[in-house]
Amino acid sequence: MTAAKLRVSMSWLHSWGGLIAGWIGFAIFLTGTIAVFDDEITRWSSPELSVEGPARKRQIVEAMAALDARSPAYWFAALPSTREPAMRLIWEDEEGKIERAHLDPATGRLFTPRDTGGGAFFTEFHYTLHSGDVGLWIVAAISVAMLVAITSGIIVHRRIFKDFFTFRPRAANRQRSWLDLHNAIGVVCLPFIVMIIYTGLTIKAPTYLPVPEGPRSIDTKTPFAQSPLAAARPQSISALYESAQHVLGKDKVAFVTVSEGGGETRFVASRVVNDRLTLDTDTATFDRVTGALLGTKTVDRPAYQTQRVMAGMHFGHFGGTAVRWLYFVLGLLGSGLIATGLVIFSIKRPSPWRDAISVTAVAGLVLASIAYIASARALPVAIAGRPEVEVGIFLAVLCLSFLHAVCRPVVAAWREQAAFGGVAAAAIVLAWVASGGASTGDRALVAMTAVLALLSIFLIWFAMAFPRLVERTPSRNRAARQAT
Amino acid sequence: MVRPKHRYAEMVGRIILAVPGGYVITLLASRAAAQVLPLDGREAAIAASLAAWPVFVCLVIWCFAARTVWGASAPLLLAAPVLLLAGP
Repeated sequence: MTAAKLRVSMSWLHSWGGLIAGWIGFAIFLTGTIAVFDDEITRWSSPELSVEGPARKRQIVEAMAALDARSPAYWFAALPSTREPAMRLIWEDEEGKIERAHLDPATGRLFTPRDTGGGAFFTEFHYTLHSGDVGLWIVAAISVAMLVAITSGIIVHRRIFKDFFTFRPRAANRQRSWLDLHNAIGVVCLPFIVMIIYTGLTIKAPTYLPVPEGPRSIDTKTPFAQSPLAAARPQSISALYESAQHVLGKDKVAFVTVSEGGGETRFVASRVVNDRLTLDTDTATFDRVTGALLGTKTVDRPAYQTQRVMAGMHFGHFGGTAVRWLYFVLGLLGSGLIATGLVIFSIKRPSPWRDAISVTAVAGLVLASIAYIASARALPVAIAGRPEVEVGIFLAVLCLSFLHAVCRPVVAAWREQAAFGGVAAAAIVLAWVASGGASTGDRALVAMTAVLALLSIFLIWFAMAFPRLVERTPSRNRAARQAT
Repeated sequence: MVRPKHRYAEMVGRIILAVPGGYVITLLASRAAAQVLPLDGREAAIAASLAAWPVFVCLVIWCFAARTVWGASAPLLLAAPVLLLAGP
């Protein structure tokens, strides 16, 4: 097999495999990129979550003690953090019904925020496409297809490093300019996209590659180290919380769960995951009554830890805000890589149906995401099943985008949808400012609104420039060359 | 190129070899690796599941890079019996 023949077959694989992978891959990449800021989007869409002041330790302990008095058999508390400043509480009422509320850790006020899927929808969508187990398998198949498209793309562009420094925005051949852009983006974000796709596949690997039950199957149960200590005396919640901090580290408790089972009540404290690469949740378990430390979960088996580090790299909780922004920008570049690839395919082999799908896969997803974010904040609070309505709006916009793309010529479909998205994003920014969104003083929310404003500018520029960017024969260049 | 109909059939064959075929080989390989890796049982299963994905990608690439469909099917035909014997 000659190298030239290999490149021909890989070129075919890159074009067609990339087309199919890109249609769904863009949705995965874009929603995954947005999900980097899932908590911030939830805060943006529910202004009541922006609590008044810094958390007070006394309020946190008092809240947990009150929960314990109310519902000794089961309760859960998510302690306040930078990204979730309000405490999340879950408990069981007298009839065994699960109740939920938020608590302002500065004042101790209990409240219920508006019912919204918030940013969590994007997290869920990017690995299940909002279709449960079926979606999980589709996303895995598309992930492998994207890795195949990347590998074949590298084989095709053998002069990849040289190509990186080649950009001919005014090339006579428009396809050449798009290819240069596609190559440059590809080289910049290659390590990131390979990492993010691979680590994404490893998170649910036992589902995708099941090993039969037996001594050599994957252990999904919690490895638990017993550490029997002498039973102490009856403990207050405050003392248990102190003991948990002693085991897991000061201010390192993220969640507390109290539950009854097997004749004893357990107090389980889970450690934060945002200060290290591994996404392994260490826990410390105490006997609720005696305060004895029943056991801790800290695992150092190499393969297990490797898998947890892969998950940690995928989630990107380890490096704070800076790493989140890095992931966000690289994720956008990855989405851009897919979008430019789809445009190149359209220029090379126009076809009304394929082009309509590409428009929906890219512009439709952007529009649907904008519509979702707007509805999460602006839908009336009293609507029943509000999160389902938000998702319904997302899917409806996607369908409308496809209908529009089918009815309009491809260039018009691209620019009209981009223009509509640009205007919608601008309207959201204005409505947010007008409704006093900036008054909470939450800098992350201002940053998010600024991103929406930039998106609006980009989309409007794109709508205006797109016909020029894809015109088949740029007459000016050719005429200029012929004149000389 | 000359015989488009023949080419279609060939491409369908390669896609079937690559996607379901590649998945089956990857699954069998990861199960076999979980048995034979010199690690604690559960560790071996996790290690195998981490190593499986590059194998899948390489198999798909091979199915399209091979000059003939017979060449593309070689890993499936050769590896499957071995992996079935080694596997659980």
